[in-house]
Amino acid sequence: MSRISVDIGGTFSDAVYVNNEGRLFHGKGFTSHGEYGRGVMEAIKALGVDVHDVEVFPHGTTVALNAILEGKTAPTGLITTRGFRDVLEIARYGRKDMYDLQQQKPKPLVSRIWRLEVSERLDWQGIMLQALDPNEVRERLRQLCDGGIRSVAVCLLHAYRNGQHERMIKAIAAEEFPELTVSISSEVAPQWREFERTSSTILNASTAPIVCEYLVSLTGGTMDVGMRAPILVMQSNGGVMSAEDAKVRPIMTLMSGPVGGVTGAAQLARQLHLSKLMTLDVGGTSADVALILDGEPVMSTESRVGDWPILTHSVAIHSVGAGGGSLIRIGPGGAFRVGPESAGSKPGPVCYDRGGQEPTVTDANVCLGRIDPLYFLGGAVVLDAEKARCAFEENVLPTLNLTVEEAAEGAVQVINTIMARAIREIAVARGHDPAEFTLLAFGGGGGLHAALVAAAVGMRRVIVPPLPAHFSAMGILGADMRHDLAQMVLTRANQADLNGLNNLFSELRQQGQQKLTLEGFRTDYIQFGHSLEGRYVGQDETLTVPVSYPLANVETVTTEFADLHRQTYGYDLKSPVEFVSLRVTAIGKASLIQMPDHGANSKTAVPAATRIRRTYFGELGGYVDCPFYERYSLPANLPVIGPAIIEEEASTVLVPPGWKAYADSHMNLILDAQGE
Amino acid sequence: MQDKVNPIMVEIIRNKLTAIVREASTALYRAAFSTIVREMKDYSNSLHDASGNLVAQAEGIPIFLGSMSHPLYALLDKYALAEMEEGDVYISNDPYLGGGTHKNDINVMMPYFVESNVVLFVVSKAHWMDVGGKDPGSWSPNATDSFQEGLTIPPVKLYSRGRLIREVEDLILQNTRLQEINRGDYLAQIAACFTGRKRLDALFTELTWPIVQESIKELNLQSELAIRERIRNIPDGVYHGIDYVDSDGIGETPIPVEVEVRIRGDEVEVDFSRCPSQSLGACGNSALPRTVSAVRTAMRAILAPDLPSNQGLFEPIRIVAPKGTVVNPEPPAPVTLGGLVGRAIVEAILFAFSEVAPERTMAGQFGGTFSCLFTGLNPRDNNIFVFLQVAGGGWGAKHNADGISTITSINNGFMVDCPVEVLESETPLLVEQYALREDSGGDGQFRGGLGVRQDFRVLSEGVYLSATMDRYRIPPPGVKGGLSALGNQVVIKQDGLETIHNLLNRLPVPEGAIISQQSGGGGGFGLPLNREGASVREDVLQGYISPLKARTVYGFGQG
Repeated sequence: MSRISVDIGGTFSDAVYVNNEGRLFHGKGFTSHGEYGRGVMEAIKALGVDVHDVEVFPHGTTVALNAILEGKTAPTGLITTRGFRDVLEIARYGRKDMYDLQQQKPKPLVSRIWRLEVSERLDWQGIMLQALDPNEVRERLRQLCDGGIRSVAVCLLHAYRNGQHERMIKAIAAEEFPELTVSISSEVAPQWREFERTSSTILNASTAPIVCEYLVSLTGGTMDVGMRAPILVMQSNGGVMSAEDAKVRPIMTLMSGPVGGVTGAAQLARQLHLSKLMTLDVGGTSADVALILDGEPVMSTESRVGDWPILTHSVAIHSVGAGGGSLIRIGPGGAFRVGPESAGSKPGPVCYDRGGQEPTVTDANVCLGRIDPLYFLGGAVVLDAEKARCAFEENVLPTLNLTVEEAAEGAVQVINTIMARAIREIAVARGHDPAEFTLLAFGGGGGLHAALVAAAVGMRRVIVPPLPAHFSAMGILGADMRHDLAQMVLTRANQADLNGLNNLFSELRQQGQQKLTLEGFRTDYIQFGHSLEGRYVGQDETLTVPVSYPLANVETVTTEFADLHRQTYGYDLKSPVEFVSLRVTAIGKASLIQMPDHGANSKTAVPAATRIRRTYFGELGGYVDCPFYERYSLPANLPVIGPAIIEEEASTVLVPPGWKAYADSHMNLILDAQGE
Repeated sequence: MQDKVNPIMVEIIRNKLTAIVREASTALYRAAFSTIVREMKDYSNSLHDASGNLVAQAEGIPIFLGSMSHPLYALLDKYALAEMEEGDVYISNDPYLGGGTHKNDINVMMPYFVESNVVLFVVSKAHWMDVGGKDPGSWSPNATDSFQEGLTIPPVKLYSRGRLIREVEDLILQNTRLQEINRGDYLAQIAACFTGRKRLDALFTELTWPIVQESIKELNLQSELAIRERIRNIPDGVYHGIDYVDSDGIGETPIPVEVEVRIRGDEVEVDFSRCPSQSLGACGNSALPRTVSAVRTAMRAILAPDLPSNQGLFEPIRIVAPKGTVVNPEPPAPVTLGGLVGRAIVEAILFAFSEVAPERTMAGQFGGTFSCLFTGLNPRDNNIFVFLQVAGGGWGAKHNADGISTITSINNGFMVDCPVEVLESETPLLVEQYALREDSGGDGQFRGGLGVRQDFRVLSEGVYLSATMDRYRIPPPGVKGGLSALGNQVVIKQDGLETIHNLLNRLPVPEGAIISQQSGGGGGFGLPLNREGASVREDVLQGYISPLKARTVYGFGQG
């Protein structure tokens, strides 16, 4: 089956194509902000392949995310329970900075004028205290319509327990106000905490028209080039969904890009049987880390986009402001600082010679000789190493009694420490010791930092997949179709009705089956996962316990919950267990991508360096002769001993002293720490 | 790793130390059980040197800043470093003998050894929901001595060489009302300390103590140099500020907190010599550690919100706080609600700086910790419940912008509210309204932020309400011609009658009564008549101010 995937990045849109024989092609287009579809089509054209027979076209899109970050969402109205229209603006009293008196609170996503109330009320168990009046609903919808509002978010108190009132509002709107697009909280984010749920629902409503317009235009673009494959969109949960679903639940696309890489990592973890894997995705401005356990990404139910919380079931990604563009500066009191401010893609690092004045991490790597200025992007761009050196001399050296190389290597050490901290934070928060993990590094800058970051947290193995700069697009290419279905139940385990739970599971399974069948999946390609979210009564956070269907008894679930609690938090309790919600994951399996075996060079006896460059390593006393290798010329399974640099078109891998590297038979580069 | 200290090594070590205190905080948060720790984030973890000075601190609550050192100073007065052993853990809460803030804040302290010498301390502080005393929640605005406010724990050993001293644990927990929840929280604090120790062990496998010690010195020096430079940029002189706490919880006389700030070169002296003698009641005293941290909070907010937390920041700041005054009371004066005086200290200093650096300050904010504490029997499980909601309110307007609406008090940092859907699931309360308070902001060229009202309907018998607040009589002031804002109040509606209250001590509230917690706004900046018409129009449109106010105060819509 031939497929194309595209990942829209900040500067470039990456396309990857696999034909029927498993041959890979990749292409790039410039991302044009505001016209993302154009960048996608450019990247597809750059592949230079015939797209008529493409059968699957999944892609990762940042359209909704960027609209939120740039404050360019569609005007939206809110309908909520009487007495609660200000929940959004109160925002739990949160502040951004602990001390700063001059800070501002983020402007509410919906201004107070368009936050309207209806009389109705449910209690904490979802029992109705006051009925909804359809006429009042009509009045409110009319008000919004007359004000020119077309997107409406509905978030009523305790709707995560009972969505009936919200569905009534949606039905009235659909029948009598067809010009309105309505998002309801019980469908978008059926979880408690009214502020976070309101924020999620509004973000969904306010990005829906933008995503819709984008998908319509992209469909036009693909039709023009004769591509008939339906457009699929990468979701934050690691699966893809249809364009029609994406128009209704754009909030599920918010982590679309970074999740692509994590999904690819999960596929690789399954292929290589790695039970504990962490990802390190280093771009220009940030480094993203995620955990993969037994081939599945670790998920979270709450995350943030810009200033706003969202409650969706998403791959847990921890992001820190550390990347190739991170600025190296002298801070207050003569402190040496790297990031989180970044030179971004404009003006970019000094060595790009596009107006950057302050040195960045990429400049540091150039000064150390680890990036060859003549081989950047395969030689397509020549970097100005001299300008990078000058930037250090002018900005950093006057206060630091050091050489350019010492300062540059110091900056790399600092940024590595920051990335290592991010890795520790995400692992430790879930009760894991990072030293037990393998690190998978990708993104343009992953390979340059991974081994040293791994060493800092006690990891001994790093993997750099083929085409690391296109890894997100690769991950999207192999992603399964996925629908996450949930129902809040809030019942004590000892009072739970087994048949009732199984009936709910069965209902959710049917919903999933229906969707996947409509999307063209044969029954033998459909899989289900089942889980219960539980907590001890009185506790706030929940743990997700995978269960088998049908449930045989409740006691096993409670025992497994206690086990999981002990593993995660280090203890369990005698308190009663409460089931909060029930989840079904319906998956339409994508067929596996057959990666070609390692090619022609496997007969070569020893790895041959393409050239030797003077490269700086403080621990070796300064400059040493360092061999540079061309990645795809390396013979399989024969080690390269560090220090060494392994290059490919859009990425560089550093094999530090004390490490060795070899290419495995799947073209992955494996780096191992040597000795004790 | 390298063996010489340079700014790069210092920065790497700063990141590693930050990672260690954050990891300790993660351990505490993950294991903690009480709502106040889990939902409201009332805790902090820090690292200190062997003399107790702050080395690194995880983000939490500003008032803990600096007050984290005092329990260690008290510990070190009592125990010599030489008698401490590996695996020892100490506990304390005595606000005079090093508790720092109030008795609810429990300090857990663990010495850290390198080559059998104590070189650092790992400290964990968390707010326990109850530490005994006369009222549930240990939250008594009308307490008249410290013994009524709960159990006093002087610095004592809780673990000896890694083993729990059961007698001490029993003695502490059995003097509190919520033993199981407290046990969960203190185990979480212990877990935080052990996590800190484990991470320090890892740090010292790659670095030697002399290198780390030298780097800590450098870090302090960096902060000190930076803050000295900023002080130097403020003109030398003597500046006055005054703010008030409405009542000490017993009497009706406002307590003036007066401060003289003297700037000379790169040093600041903050002098409280004109403050009155200590108060009889619990709302009118701030124990010295709290006073010190209030001063530090103010100085950081004005001069250095961006600098890392360590001892160096505080070197150029001298504090004069005579004994026996409201800012340095002598035992056994009650101090649990000293946060109110602490708040007044912060703002008195802000007002002093308003004279000379208005661009770095703001007008008066809504007040200190404005809390409603509900206790009683929860009919759903027949257990005692203690529920504390701390309201946010408006911050003062600034020289170039309106004040922020509905935000935590300056002193309370990242503390947040308990969501309505969570509190209704856990307590016999139903929230009828949670909304901005129209017209509560102080008027001015720039308007103060708005306060908020949250109305709780009581759903069962036998519920009691305690409330703490300030700025209910003397409202949040404006500056430079800006007007004052509405203050804080609790309105109780029952049997068709509304009554207005301020401080409350275990008032029985009948089933069906509605308790409205209404917080104040922030003061205005500049004359209201100088406010732009478009801003007034927008405020009316959004319902932030009433049309009446637009007409009468801003002269809007006339003619």
